[in-house]
Amino acid sequence: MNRHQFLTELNQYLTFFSPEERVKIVADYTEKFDAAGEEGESALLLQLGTPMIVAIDLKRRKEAGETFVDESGKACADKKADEDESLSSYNVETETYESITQDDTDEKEPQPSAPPLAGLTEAPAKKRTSQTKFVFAVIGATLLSIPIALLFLALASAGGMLIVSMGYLILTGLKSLYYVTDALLLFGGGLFSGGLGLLIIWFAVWSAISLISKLYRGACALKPDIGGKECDA
Amino acid sequence: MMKKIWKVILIISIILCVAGIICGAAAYLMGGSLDELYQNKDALPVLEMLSPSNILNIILSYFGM
Repeated sequence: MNRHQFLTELNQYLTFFSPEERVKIVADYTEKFDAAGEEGESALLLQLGTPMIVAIDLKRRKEAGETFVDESGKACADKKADEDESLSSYNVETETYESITQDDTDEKEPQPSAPPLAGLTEAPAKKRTSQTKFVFAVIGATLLSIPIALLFLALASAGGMLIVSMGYLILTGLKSLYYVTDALLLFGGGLFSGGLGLLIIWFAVWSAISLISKLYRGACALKPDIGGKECDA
Repeated sequence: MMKKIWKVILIISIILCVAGIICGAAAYLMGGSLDELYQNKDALPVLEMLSPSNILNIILSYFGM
């Protein structure tokens, strides 16, 4: 593993940090590598351990209440780095790793213990699962929207037919004005069917819009990044 | 916005329906009836066209039944 791989991998594991904190942490480790130079790079890599172990340590420090970007914007990780010239003060996992690396003569890649590994790999796995859920929810909402839209389109068509019949009946009533009762019946039927048609069309449109939007809101709520905030807006 | 549109459409629909009922009631009070309406040569084609059986036939033929 070289410096570039280490920093890239470390950045991937810093899912518990805000983008600013991530940038500062990566910048801090970049400075460390710069300070170590090409000669000291492999020694520093050996000293730091794997990016995963570094990320575990940073995560624990964050959980303990440590902030990584102070008011002046300087990464607090610097303080820790200054304090720890060696990783002797690192927590159990780091120490375990150190003991492995010190004792290990065949340069075998150290394997951290299971619990911290699970802690780090859990978040991306959860994110992936929620992304899959979101995709399936959107597909499901789309598939459900099609029959709903068709059903309400049919209902709206019935309303449209009633409005068209209103036009026919009123025109016929105008032609039959010399028979007042017939004209009144035709006007009455026409107006009634027109009102009913308008009501049916509006009901169909409103129901379709509200049902489909509810479906998509439900699907959006599963989106991992926004948690449905954008959908509610 | 939707509520305002809904209110306007509801009011228009109620007005149309009430006007239709008033017209029909007035026609019946004046002695009119549907049987007489079917005797009207001008109204007959439209009434046949809009009769439920004709609409059902159109729908069934549309779906090839």
